[in-house]
Amino acid sequence: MSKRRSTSEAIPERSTRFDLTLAVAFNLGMAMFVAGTSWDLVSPSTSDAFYWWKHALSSLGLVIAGPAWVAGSNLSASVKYLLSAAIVGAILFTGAAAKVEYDVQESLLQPWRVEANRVVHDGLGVSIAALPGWSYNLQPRPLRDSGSSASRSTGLAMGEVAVFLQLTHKPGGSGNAASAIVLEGGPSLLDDQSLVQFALLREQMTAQRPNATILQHVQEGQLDGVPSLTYAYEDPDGRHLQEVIFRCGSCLLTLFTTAASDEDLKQVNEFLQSIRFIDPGTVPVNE
Amino acid sequence: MRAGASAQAVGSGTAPSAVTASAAPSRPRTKSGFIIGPVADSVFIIGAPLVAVLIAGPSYWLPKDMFSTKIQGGTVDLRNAFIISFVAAHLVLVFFRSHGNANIFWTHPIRFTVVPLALLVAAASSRWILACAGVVAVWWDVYHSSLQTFGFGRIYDAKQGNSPDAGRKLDIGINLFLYLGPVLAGAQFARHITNSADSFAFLKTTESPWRDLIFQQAPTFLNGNQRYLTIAVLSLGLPFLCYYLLSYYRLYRQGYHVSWQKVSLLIITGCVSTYFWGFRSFIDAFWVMNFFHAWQYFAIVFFAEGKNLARLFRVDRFPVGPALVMVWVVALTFMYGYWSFIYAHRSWFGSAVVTVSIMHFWYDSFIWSVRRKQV
Repeated sequence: MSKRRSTSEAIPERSTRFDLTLAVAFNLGMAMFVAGTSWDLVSPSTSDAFYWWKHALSSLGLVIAGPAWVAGSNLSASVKYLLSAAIVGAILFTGAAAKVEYDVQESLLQPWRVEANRVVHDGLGVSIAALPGWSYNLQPRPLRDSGSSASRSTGLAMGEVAVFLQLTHKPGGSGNAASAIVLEGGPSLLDDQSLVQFALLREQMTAQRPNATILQHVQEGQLDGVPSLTYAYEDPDGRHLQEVIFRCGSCLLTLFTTAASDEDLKQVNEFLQSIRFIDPGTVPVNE
Repeated sequence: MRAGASAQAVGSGTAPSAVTASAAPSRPRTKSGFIIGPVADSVFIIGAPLVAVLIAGPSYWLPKDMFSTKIQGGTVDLRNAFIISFVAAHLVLVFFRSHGNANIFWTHPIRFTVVPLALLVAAASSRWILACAGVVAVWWDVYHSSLQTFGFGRIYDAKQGNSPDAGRKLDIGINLFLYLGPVLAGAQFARHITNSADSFAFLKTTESPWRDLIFQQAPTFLNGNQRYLTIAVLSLGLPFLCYYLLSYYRLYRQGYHVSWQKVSLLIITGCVSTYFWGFRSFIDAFWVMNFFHAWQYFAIVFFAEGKNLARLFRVDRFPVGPALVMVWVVALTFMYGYWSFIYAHRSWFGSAVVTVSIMHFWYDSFIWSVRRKQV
């Protein structure tokens, strides 16, 4: 009888200590996860020197908390192993995704490269046909230099805007007005509803300019299968202008086109139709 | 004695109404008529609308610049950021009960798994479904909020030992009148119509025949005829209020125990709702009404699920367990709330937010049943 009693006393003690350890581990992991994720939510900029510390903290927290919780549950052993493996796998996957996102963000201000009569930006994931006779400026430049520690040479923080690409064409003599194409934008969280409102507001503001004539109201279209919003107007000099707004990854981009002649307008439309989107994560950066 | 009086009324040949037949208390009266306790109920449930007014009032009198800040490149009013995050936090909180409580989960496993997944996929796949879900969410939110007060009232009635059927339909009616009525009849009706229409913003840039109907004809018709809606609400609602009071007087005469906690809750909620939805700006009304709704919800979840959550978070053995539970739940839900406000705008994330909202409204309609003794 006493032997049975001592045996039954030993097992609960081990179980209790083990459960306590798991409970402490789970809560420590939760604390790390909450701290890291909250920090990242409030300050997610990839320019932040602590970017990887934040991700490491929240990932480590999950790696500890997840399996600790699973181990302390009443699930069968096989389910526990599966769940723990799934948790670790999910964390590794998100880590890899964060690396891709980081590389993409860091490469936004890298110059375009020329490849087979096309200009390609690996950071944006965009490839466009090169127009013959047009001058190109392939070096992106940020429009707002915050001067803070957050701004850096090769990336854009959320809300920052850059001119990614500029093309100009001055047909004939020096007296002719130039045609131009400017690709501008940056990382943005603008949602789909707000994007429509944004485009409609831009059209409204344009319409209020003296002697500007709206030729085409904001319409939904597509660029290589990606939804876009476009409107067109004529300026006092008779030039045909368009604004094409579309998303590219985490960036919101606007193409401002100015065509001084019908020939240039034709080329501008060819330019738009030649836009192709490539997956920025699969293209090597800095090549 | 009250039960006897009820029996006499039946025996005298008077045809018993449904109200009379169920008026007699059918369960024992609890010692305390409060759900959590006198102070907690006063702050977190009964007086919640007043708490919201006390917090919102001063913050909106202060200059706007004090709360303006840059978040992710956009200018944000921190007061708005807080309330939207708080609202989203309370929406996701339902899953701690529906999925975190095994007894609740296994009552409807399909509803808690297949349905949200199906809605998520459908909303992410179709702009029309997402937009329709958005409209449903706007109006179901109003209905659901009015029924939360109804639910608390029924719990208070149960605490008095009253039958779960006594006055049930009356309570549904009065809560709809006190909450939905001011929304329909008041100053913010137009804003609700605009919010509903904005779910279909993608139509503004298309030639769809629905564009004019949704953005022009329907809002013009509804806003132009709101005065008739106001007349209907008042001409139906005020007599109903008199009928409600009379009916409850009859119930009282037949054995019903009045819960003054419920009476206080209805009066405070009704007054605040009528004033803010009826006469104040949208942001004032949205802030106050949603704050107290979420405030009450957090209270009832912590009260009802406290022990279960402590086990879920493995802190039931620690003396600081209850406090730690609150920290984790508030942290996790507010992280979701902030994320949904700032980041979750497109495709799958936006669909997830709408799915969480719709599931919250739906689940709340059957996981807090007084009749099934779930609370």
